[in-house]
Amino acid sequence: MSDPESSQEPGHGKHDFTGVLLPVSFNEPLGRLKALAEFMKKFGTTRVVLLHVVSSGLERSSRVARRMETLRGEFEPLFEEIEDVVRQGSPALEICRMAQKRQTRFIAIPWKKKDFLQRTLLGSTTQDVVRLSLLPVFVYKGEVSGKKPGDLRNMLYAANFDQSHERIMDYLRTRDMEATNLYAVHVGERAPDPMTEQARREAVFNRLNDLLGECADWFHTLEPVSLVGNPRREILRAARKYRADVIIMGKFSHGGTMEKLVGSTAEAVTHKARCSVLIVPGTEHPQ
Amino acid sequence: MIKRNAVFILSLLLSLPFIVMGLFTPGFLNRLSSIIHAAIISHFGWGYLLSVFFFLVFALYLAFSRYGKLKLGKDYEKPQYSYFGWFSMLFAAGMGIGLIFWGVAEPLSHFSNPPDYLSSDSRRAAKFAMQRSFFHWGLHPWAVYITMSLSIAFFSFRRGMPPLISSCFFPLLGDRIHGWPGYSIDLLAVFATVFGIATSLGLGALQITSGIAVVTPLTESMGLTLSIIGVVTILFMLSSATGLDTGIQILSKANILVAVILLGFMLVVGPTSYILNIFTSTLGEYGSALLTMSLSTNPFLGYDWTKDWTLFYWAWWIAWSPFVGLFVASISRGRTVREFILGALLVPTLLTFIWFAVFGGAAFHLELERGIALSEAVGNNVSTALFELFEHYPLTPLLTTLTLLLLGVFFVTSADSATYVLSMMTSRGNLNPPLSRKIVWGLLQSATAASLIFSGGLEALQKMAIAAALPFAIVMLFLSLSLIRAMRYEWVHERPHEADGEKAMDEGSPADGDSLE
Repeated sequence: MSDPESSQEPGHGKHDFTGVLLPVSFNEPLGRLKALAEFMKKFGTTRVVLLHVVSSGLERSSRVARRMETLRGEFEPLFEEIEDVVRQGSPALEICRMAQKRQTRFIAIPWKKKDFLQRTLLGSTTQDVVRLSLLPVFVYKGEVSGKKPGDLRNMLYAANFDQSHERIMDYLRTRDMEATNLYAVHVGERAPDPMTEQARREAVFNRLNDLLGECADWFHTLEPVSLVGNPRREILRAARKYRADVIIMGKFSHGGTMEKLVGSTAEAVTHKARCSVLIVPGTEHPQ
Repeated sequence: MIKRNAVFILSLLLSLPFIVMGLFTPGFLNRLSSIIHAAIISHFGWGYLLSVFFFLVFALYLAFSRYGKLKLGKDYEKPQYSYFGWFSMLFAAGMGIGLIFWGVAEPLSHFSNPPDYLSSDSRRAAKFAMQRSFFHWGLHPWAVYITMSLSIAFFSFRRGMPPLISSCFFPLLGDRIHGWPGYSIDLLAVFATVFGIATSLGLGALQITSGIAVVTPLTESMGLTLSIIGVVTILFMLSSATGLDTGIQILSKANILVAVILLGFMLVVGPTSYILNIFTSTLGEYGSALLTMSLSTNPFLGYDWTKDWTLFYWAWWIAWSPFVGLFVASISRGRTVREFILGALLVPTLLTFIWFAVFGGAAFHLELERGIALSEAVGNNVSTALFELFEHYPLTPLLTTLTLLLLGVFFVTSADSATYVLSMMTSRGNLNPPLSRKIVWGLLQSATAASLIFSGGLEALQKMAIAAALPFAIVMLFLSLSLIRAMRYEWVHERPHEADGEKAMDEGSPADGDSLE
């Protein structure tokens, strides 16, 4: 595991959104991609790597090149630098590999809803990327929740104070992700007795208030929220309650049996949330 | 005022209709309870088997896991009672009266009425009878009691909460334990205890009556039974007034001594090597068939037998568990989780096995080797089984008197501890409940038992207790979840130096809790 502060190589270690890898399957409606581009512009993205992974072998290269050219044309007026890449192989693996190779700061994926049967039989590239990536992954669901592109009012940080916390704070402390309201939500386990529970809640509120204090310059309203229960369910419930436009949360693998069976909280929230989700891994790229 | 006494008032109000029904319309109560009881046992029998097996695995897991080191009290506390005092009280509360009732009767009943795939009165039926008697009274009932008492002891003595079953649900319910969800759990526990104790005392009184009729010129009559209940009530109210430290402890220790004397006498005077052969052989068979028996509903062969015996017992142990659990918890302060589980699981089980081997073995020796048809007499009146056995051994009057003494004292200790537990449960977990409450519950139990014997509604109320066991089995499964969460919380957040390598695992995603504490 690398220390986040030890990332010295150019292109790594600085926590901003300047460079993005955007995987495209050409099945996405152009409107959605444009909406995502608006969102990324608001984050301060200047460089975009468009990636298409040919997995079936039936796609004609000329057709792929033509579609890529069209897409590039749409994106060029919005960003300073556009690069397109076509690869063959497993989509999730190639996305993670190319993001690392092209030294992008994050991966942005336009969400495509899949029903239970599709997910079970075909799997979900988005969830695979969330699981595999060592870079932050932004899953854009703007259209799903009916928001206008770039409309960022309420941000919900599902704080767990684990390895990803400092990285997430780097993002929250910049103007890149400026939103109106920030809700710092912590979902914990209830202590075994009322007195210990009281002390636990106080400790949680203290930490959440410290966290919000660091972000006070960038948000109009800051609210600490301490919840108890199943993290995936409570985060989603809080996101609905506070009408979050983006959920930002960390990801750190325990390697536990339950995680292996049902996936991590980050994967579940990514799948079930009605708003966009930014997942920040606890472990950075090895340098 | 009303909120403070909500459980007391509601439990009295809700118990009374059933008791009144048992008194005035025993036929109706019997029909009602039979329908509910039959439906539950027929449709959810598998659930009882799975739940009770789970409690056994759960208890073993806790004993050998890292949580085994946790103490049921503060870390510096020492056990309140000596091993002898503790085991005596465990045994008196958990089995006592039932074991004397069934020690001879159960093996002989299985021998005469085995499942369809065995021929009755055969040697194979005898082997089966011993194995199942061990099974019904062995590790499983104690695993049920342990799950309950461990939770109560952990949350009350270690975490400083009132000794109530609802307290154990704080990790799951939070402050709702002080609202209706918590009250409902405590109410259900009070129901199961009131119904269970009233019927158990009634059956005990009937057995004492049979015994007295054997050793004295008195004949079995309603008057005699009611007088016995009256005398025992006065005794247990006196014992209850003196408190747990003196009353129940002295009586339980005395009882264990009497039981050991009876056991030793039968072992020496009876067919010693025959009994020891039965003990050794059945122990091996029990051990090797434990998993099969634990999960065997016998859907193809003899499901009715399983329903009548195994499922009945499992439901009965669950129904008894609030009472035994609270009592056992209150005497186990200061012991470690491992010591508590292994002590409560192994020692009473071993004593029970010896009891069954000695009395069941002696009965089978008469039946199979000497051609005395004991099972026939037992079939006519189950409560006389032990006394019938004594008829064929020397010093019959002495043995019968000792047994009556044993029954009487177990009766007193059971009623005493039940009164204590009911008073505690209905006074918000007060470890020293007011005497007035003890008197109310004591008199209500005895009056119920006496009235139901009079009206014939005893078995109907017993079926109601068993019906209450189904929701209680579900409550107990959640109880296990709550307990493991609490122990895990303590281990991870309050004893991180002992969590060692496991700590890193628990500091990760919110799926496994926070890392603040």
